[in-house]
Amino acid sequence: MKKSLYENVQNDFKKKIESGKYEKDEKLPSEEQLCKFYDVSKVTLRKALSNLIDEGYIYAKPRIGYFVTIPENDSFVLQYDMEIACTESITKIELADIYVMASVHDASIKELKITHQYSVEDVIVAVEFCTVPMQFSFSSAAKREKLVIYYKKIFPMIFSYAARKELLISAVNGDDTVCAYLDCFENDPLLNVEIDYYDDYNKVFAHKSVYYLEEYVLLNASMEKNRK
Amino acid sequence: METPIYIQIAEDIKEKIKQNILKANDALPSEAALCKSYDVSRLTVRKSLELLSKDGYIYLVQGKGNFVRKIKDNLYTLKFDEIHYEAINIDQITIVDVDIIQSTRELIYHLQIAPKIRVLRLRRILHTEDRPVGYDIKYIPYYPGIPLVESELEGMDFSQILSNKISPYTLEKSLTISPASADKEVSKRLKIDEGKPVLQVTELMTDRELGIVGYGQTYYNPSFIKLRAVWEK
Repeated sequence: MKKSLYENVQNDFKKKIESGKYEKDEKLPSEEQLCKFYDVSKVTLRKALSNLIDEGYIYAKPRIGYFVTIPENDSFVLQYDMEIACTESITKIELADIYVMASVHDASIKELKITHQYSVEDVIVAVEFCTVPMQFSFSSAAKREKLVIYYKKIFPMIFSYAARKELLISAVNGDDTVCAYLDCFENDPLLNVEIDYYDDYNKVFAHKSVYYLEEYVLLNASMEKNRK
Repeated sequence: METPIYIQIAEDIKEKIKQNILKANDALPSEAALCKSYDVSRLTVRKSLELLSKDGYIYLVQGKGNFVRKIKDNLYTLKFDEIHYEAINIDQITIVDVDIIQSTRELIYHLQIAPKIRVLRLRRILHTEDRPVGYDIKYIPYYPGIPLVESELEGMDFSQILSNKISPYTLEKSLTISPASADKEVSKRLKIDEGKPVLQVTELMTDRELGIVGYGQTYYNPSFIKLRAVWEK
């Protein structure tokens, strides 16, 4: 079957773009030039171009022209939070520990350490160690009740002040503390997710370290397509 | 100097959104109501709303009012290519073998192919400074035309192997990431003790027109390779 005019134009462009004739974000010739080159009407050309836009080969900037898209085949979107990471829905979150400690980087700065245990029914599936800054000067011996009141006030809101978050995903064996919280063996493989929270000045202000049991965790990432 | 009043109002509303007092897709009070509750002029309220909309906290529906935007604070960008890393330089890739194999039950399931279709299996080891850090297995339904010359396959990633078959424009990839214990095979390839934790990344490649075109598994020694993902406001 004979291909229609616009399909010929479209396929010619596809071939050219796929063969690497164009650079990323390179501007295509003007509509007039293209009409002349392919010897087609503007309507036909526009049909071809609009199909190419739909298929993600090019993008248009109104009043400026058409530009070539080069797909990034290594960029994924990873959806991550505790609920999504767990393969079954979490039924219970418990505050397992809370205390104040001097920062390892600067002893004059006090940090609040919070440990949460996440359960699915009777199984503890994940343990989360949080480090957040203390805005008030509680002494290290501060009463737990006082800390809990403070914690309730700032949690989990404090993390929403992040301008940037960085995840580091790894597989590990738990140390004694982690194994005790998760009630697992020291040679069980665990997924470890470290999260750094950066403020507007690109300084880390809070940190989380989460360990998941192998059987209850799966992270999914998919490709960002046709991103504008 | 004191913060301008319109910024204070914007901050106050932001706070309410962050604390989930105002939930995603909730309507914000009308401009008139906001004027009244903050006791400011319409102009000030407009400025606050403009700021919120610019910062991505709210969106406007013409004739209906302003609504709270769902904050996508759980979408991270992950750069992943099984043979290239930012943090560590994969300086050598060696091929264990390339085979055309009969499809197994697992492969029929993952690749969604007919049982009779044969599969190209490519197994490679990724090295950094002479140390094996990754073990990569790829399965591709066998189409004639895919290169079988080992030297050609060495340094290629999934998309490159399939590049003469599949256009990168119609290709979609998805990953799953999980921890695993190194089994006999993996521990041998990565030269680590059996049972040690490894990071397992499964990659599925789908073409919009052809369906599933490839399935791969990569095992990493997590002492060398971790995955990094970033979220930015």
